Amino acid sequence: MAPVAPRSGDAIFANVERVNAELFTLTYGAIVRQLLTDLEEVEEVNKQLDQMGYNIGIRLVDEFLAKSNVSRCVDFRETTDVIAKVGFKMFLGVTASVTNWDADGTCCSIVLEDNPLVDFVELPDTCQGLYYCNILSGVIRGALDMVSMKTEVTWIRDVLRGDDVFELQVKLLKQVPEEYPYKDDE
Amino acid sequence: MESTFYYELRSGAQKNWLLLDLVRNRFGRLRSPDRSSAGDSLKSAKAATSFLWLPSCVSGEILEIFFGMAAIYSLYIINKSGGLIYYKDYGSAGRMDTNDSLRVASLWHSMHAISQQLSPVSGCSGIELLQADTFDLHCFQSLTGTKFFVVCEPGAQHMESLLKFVYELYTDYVLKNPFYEMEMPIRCELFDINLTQAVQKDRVAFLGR
Repeated sequence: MAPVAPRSGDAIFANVERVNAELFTLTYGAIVRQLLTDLEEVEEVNKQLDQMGYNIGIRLVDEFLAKSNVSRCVDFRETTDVIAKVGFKMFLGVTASVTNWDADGTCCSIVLEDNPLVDFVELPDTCQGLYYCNILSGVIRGALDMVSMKTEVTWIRDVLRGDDVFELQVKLLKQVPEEYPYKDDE
Repeated sequence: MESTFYYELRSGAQKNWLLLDLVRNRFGRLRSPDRSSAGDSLKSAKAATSFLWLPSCVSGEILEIFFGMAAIYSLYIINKSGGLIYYKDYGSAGRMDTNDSLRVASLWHSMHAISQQLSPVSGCSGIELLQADTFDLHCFQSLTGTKFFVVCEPGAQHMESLLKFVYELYTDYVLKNPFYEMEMPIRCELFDINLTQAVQKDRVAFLGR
């Protein structure tokens, strides 16, 4: 069988079932609000959101691979490109761009101009340290973890903190070789 | 042969006789007006079913046993460390008990890994098809390391796309189930239902050829 051509983010987005954007935004808002009530510390909430995102990411990556038909990426550049162009489109309905590559190609920024998560959000003074969309960074970290890339994802710019765009810095820490045995004897 | 329905799916295939018994046991007396008109090739599968004198309510199930399930013997899903997380067999051919299926899964996992290392070309992703006298084994490995493989009758077509579809079902009905724990055996009813439908759909495609 001939390999199936990778599908574009738009094509997949058109085919998957979607929910009302407001429902999505409000649900996410409710989750963050509840976490703030439960954990009280903004730092803890950031951590928790990241962990939740990670747990989503490790499952989501398979859906992404199954539905987008992308094949193995040759390098980290291609990987981030696919995340920005196909991944974000497929799951959030927005397109991101990749910029600010460092010299050795292991660190870059994914820039989001539009982010449905923050449609109605204004950060109060008490929550200034909150990375409201920290779940997204967790998702990316989790998804890349499952395809043997250990990464660190941090927010550089955040519209809620007065910047003009959302900017996520993705840093490739190490690429785990996919060889057997998976450190069985350790 | 008066009381039985005979259809030779592939000449000399022993399993059809087993299936025959299965149907006979399950449905009692079924009769075919003329055995010879059933033909002996896949092409006449449609014809063979259309003249059958059967109550319409059971014919679907018989079709399933005879045609769809005969094409696929069993389906396995193994996690990235080689543990069997899903096993299902279809029809009587190649049926295995739990221990054997676990053994097959871990054996296949190791063979797959060895094949990657033995391959003369670099970047090999492991065995995709194993052809034996009595069965074919088609394997699909996702980039995350989960392997899906079907054991089917020799020469069965479209198994790659079926496996791809099973992968999609797995992402939808297993991974999205919040109560499914990663890498653990799959016990998701929705997955079972949709998988059965997919295999049946494969049966329809099979009949259509």
